[in-house]
Amino acid sequence: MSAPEPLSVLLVDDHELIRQGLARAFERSEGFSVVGEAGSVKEGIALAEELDPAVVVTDVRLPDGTGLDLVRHLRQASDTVGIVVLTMYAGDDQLFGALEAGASAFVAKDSPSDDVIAAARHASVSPRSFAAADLAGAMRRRLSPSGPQLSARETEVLKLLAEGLGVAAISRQLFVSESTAKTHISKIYEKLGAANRAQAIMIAIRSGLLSDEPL
Amino acid sequence: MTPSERLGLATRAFFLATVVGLAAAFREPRVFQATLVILALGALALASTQFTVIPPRWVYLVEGFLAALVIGATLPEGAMLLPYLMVPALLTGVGGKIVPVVVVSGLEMLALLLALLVGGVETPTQEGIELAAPWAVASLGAGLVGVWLVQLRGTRVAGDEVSYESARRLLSQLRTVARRLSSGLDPVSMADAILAAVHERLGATRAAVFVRTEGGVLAPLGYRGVDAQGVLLPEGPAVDTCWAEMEPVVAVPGNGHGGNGHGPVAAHPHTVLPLRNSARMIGVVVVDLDEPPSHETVVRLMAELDEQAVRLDAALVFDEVRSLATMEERQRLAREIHDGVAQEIASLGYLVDDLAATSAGEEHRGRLHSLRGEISRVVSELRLSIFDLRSEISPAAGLGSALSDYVRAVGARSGLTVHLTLDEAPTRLRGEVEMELLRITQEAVTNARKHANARNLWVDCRIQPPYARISVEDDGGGLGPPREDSYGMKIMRERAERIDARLEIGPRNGTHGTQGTKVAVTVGAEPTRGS
Repeated sequence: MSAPEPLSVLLVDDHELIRQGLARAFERSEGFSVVGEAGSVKEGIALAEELDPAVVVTDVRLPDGTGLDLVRHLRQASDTVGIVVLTMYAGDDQLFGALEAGASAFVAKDSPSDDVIAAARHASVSPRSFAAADLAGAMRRRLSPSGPQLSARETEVLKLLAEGLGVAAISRQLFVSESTAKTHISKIYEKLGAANRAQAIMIAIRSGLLSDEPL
Repeated sequence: MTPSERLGLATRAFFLATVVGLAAAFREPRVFQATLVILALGALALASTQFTVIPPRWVYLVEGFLAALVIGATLPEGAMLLPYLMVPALLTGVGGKIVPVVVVSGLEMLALLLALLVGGVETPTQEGIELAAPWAVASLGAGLVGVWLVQLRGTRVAGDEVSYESARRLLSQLRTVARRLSSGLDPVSMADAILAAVHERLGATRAAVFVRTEGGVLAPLGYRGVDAQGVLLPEGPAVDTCWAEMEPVVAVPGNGHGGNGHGPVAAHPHTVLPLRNSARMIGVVVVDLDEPPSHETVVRLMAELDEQAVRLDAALVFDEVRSLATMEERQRLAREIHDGVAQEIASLGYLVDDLAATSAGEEHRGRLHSLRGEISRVVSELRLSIFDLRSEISPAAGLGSALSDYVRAVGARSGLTVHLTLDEAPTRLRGEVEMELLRITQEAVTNARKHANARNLWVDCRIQPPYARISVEDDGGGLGPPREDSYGMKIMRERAERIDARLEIGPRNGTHGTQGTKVAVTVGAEPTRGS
């Protein structure tokens, strides 16, 4: 094959069987060559410096730390290295952790090896972008109503606040004590991260908890 | 009767029995009279220590002084009564301090001297002193021996035997409780007992018990009275004062705490009682009263509450320890699955990928692809199990947000459409209860996801501490009869039992036919609404 020089790959995972499986997958596909394997963050850093790989594929949970530390370190050292985070952990915070650390792609360990290869290919082409399965879903979950979640009662209180009612008026309207109304209000401020009424109303409108139409 | 009261009775009875016997034998009328006086004195002293609030130390002091006067007046014939002087000194000594012993013996000597100088008509003072002095010194000695005995026992208490014994007792209690779980050290039933006591003593219309949780928040443990949940809150100046001073704060009607007194409801006079364990606050009881209680009533109630608070504290600590231990074990289990079987199966998947890629036969490749599909499914199940095991409730956010995060994350991963409603009060549930409710919900969602083949998931949470109800419904195939006793159901039942919650599992009453399953867990009594 008259292909250009294959892309060098460094595998970082403390499980040898995983490394073997991935190495086989990379060797099988065109354009990659596994140049090194590491089992820890420390080894990974040392080998990355020594071998200067085009792509690093790393696990998150490693014996001497988290793979995200390795990612951060690599990204700080180089803007061009492709980094694929491979993990067994589920949960959006893992994905966002990888994104924030500077990874180029995020793949779960239940995905077939072709997905890992595809992610490595993407990472080598555009290391400063980010690819992950269901990235859009995760973004939506992060931005949409799940952010601040108000209870039915708190939403009611928020609406009355937006109408310009005072604590006493709110408590009369909802048939609760003033201290209860105050508690609801402080809870709303807390959930929205607001310091005062005006801020709370602004944030609520922005995050879709209140419509900004005139009431 | 306390040990020191028993000792008081025993020593007096011993001395008087001997003395009365001797006096009767010698037929000395004056000595006999004096014996009767001492007998009366002893009985009076005994009664005073047992039935009045006079400190025993003062009782012994007066007893010693009067007994010495009486005996001194009967000398020399009354010499056989002199040993009685040791009784008050010994009893004082058992109090554990040397100074009072010296004072009592000194007073006895003074009284003897006084009696000899003034009243001892027929007795030459010299002879009287010679008779009395050894016994006066013996009384001092008896007192000092008493002090020494107490100190000896005191050091042994601090030593090994007793602490081992109390540790053993605690551990065996722990074992019993751990076996029967919530029955022995159940904070909720203890809170009910406290509320019952408050109701009985103060005639409270409403009362609530709040305890401090890990995050420093006051979580309700129990309510009593109509609409107590809406009216009684763990906040306001009365609660702050009570917390800071560790003393009951009795509110005066019309001088309502909380709010500026404008609203019709704000003028409720809340009385706040501390739940304290020695120098530590563990919670408060907020009480709504029609009229302020008398000082004595509060004092008597506080004595009762202090006792209950110690028990409650133990129960809360036990709960905390148990949930910490469980949490640690779950984390360990998650790590074990993560590092062990999950990675091995995942690497098998890569192996199958490799076989499929290099396989020549079309049919063979097809089989390998479906095998790979199965492996992927198993690995993603394991990922979710690890996720379940690792998920915790943040002290700042509470059960509501933990539940919504979990349900949404899992829904997204399994292609279920999640419909979540959340009604959460500003107060929090206890940490242990939050944890078990989250786990039960996780189990219910997992069941729906795995077995029910559902497309929609309805999760409805109403959290009004200490009441909470969470229902999880799906529109899947529903439960077959054999699934009732499945492992998942059993775990949910056990968890529910642990926090004294009610678990209902049955078919969903859906609007589109009656397909699907409903799992609902309820803890606490539904709040009563007054208005």
